[in-house]
Parts: sequence; structure tokens; C-alpha cells
Amino acid sequence: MSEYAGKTTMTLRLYGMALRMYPAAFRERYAAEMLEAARREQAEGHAGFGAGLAWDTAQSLLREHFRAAAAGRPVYAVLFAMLCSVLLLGVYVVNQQILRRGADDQPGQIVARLRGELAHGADAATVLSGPKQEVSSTEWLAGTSAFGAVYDADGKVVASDATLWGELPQPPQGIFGIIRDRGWDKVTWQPQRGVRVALTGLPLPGGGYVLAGQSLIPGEARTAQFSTLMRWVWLAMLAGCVVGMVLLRRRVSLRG
Amino acid sequence: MSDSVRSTQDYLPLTPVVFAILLALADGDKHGYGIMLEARQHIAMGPGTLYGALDRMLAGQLIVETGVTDDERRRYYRLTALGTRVLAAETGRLEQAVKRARGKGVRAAEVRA
Repeated sequence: MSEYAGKTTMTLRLYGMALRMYPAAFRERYAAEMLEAARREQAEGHAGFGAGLAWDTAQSLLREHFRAAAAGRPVYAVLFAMLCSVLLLGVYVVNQQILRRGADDQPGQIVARLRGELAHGADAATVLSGPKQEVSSTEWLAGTSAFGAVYDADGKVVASDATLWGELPQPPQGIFGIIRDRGWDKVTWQPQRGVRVALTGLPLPGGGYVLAGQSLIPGEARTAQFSTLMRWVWLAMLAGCVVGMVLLRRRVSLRG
Repeated sequence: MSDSVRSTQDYLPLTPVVFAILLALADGDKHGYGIMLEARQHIAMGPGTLYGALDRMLAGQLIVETGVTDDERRRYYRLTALGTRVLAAETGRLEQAVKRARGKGVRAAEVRA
């Protein structure tokens, strides 16, 4: 038995408990020596013994657990790459959703305004008078202007400030059923390839519907740019993981 | 990585803890607590820091274990040839740094070590 065995104090008891928190291999190899070193240190009356020991133990515990984890570096690199991939995918999806929902803002304001004006007795043709925008035109599709349209209770177009192939825009009937059942609808309408419109619709108090739409093409172009950027970031992250693994394997690590 | 392809440069720069431990062992075998007492003349070091560093240095073949007391509470450590070369290389690196500092008019301040 050590000459210091009888001097076990609360600090050393706590230290003995803390030693159990080290990784198993490290603990089995060094715990007895570490406890002995702490005992001797306390017996020699070093100033600030308890606080110094606590700080050293906290740092050392983190270091040794990190090191034990790093021993399986390839596995951790793969897990890190997977985590980053999921995060990047999440960022992409959130960005795509923000851009898509952003295309609903202006139509949402237009249908609310139209419904308000029509509820106060305004005439649909008067409210939507003025030069008509052609929805299938390159200019309209590339721009951010929106159109409005009013439909009767059967979903037949009554008035609009836009045309589609020269006619007032007439979306599929199904959208009106959803608006009637739910009280609103937001949908992507693609009357033909390359013509994609974010449509928002509301029911009118006396029957009928108001719809407004904005081109999705600018937002989708930004989404495509962001997607390209994300792909490069993802590839750079994968390359970084591979390079990091190679460099870490080559370097002799004496650090914690 | 085998010892034959390891260069002293692979270990540099040393951390202050590793340098202090190598220096403590430069004049002969010591047990852990003995190393800690001497190393503390250079740097604050508790048992966790000491034994963590000793474990890494054993893995890096800078030191070897030379014996253990009957109660297994004291293990003795010794520098390997590689450890001696690394200590010399780090000392040379530090000397160069000190030389450059002095060349720029920097003078040493009063420190614990």
C-alpha cells in the first residue's frame, strides 16, 4: 500500500471517479499512475492543486475522447461527409422552397386586392382593363410582372389583364374545386413546356374565383444557379475530406 | 508509418508539453511523476496532460517504457534514438527562432522557465 493511501481526500475521490470517464484503453493503462501522481502532488502541497487538477482533467478527457474517436478516422470522415451532404441538401431544399414561395407573394397580393375590389361592387372587366400581357411571351416569362384573372362560378374566365396564346388564360377546372373546398389554392401551372406559372387563387363571396399568376422561370433559373454552386461546394467538401484524411495519415500527430 | 520512413521533420514543431517531456528525459530514465515535476519548470502540466502526451509519444516511438515498479504505479520512460534526434531538431529550430528574434532587437523578458 502506498504511503499516501491514507490521505485520500474528497478531491482525490472525485479524481478517481473522473478517471473512470477516460476511454477504456487509456484508463486501464494509466489510471493508477495518474491517481498516484495526483496523490503525490497533493501530499507535496502544491498551490491551487484542486482547481489545476480539475482543469487539467477536463481538457485531458476531451482530448483523449477526441483522439479515441479519431482513431477511426476514415469512418468519421465518411460520417462527416454524409452529415455535410445532408446539410447541403437541406440548404438546397430550403433555398428552392424560399424561391418557389417567393413567386407566390405578388399573385397573393393581387388576388387579395381583386377580391376586395370585386366585393365592393367593382366590375371585373374594368378592374382588369389595360394592355394585355402575353403569358407565353419570352418577355413575360423572363420578367416578374404578374397577371390577374376573374372566373365565374363554373370556372369559366370572365376577365383578365393577360392572354395565353391570344386567349384569356383558362387553367384546368380542378383548381377551382380545390379553391372552393379549401378556400384558397397555390399551384404550379404548366400549360406547355417552358411556360411555368405560380398560380394563386381565392373564391369570391358571391361565387366565382380570382386567380393571379407569375412566371416561375426567373426563380427556377436562380435555383439552377444555386444548385450548381451547391454541387461545387459538395465536391469541394468531398475533396477536402479525402485530402484531410491523406494528410492526417502522413503527419505524425503528437497533439491532443 | 514505419520508423524507417519517419523524419524528425514529421514531428516538428513540437508542442511545449512534448518538448518539456523530451527535455526531462534527456538526462536519463524517469517515471511519470518525476517527468511532471521537471517539466513543470517549463510549463503547467497535470496528470491528464502528462499521460496523454506520454501515450502519444510512445505511439510515435519518441520514448519507450523501460520498467515498472512492483505495485505498477510507476512506469519508467526513456528517450529513443528517434526521440533524441527530434529533441535536437526542435532545439535547433528554437535556437534559430531565438537568433532571428535577437537579430531584430528582441530581448528576453523575465519568465518562469
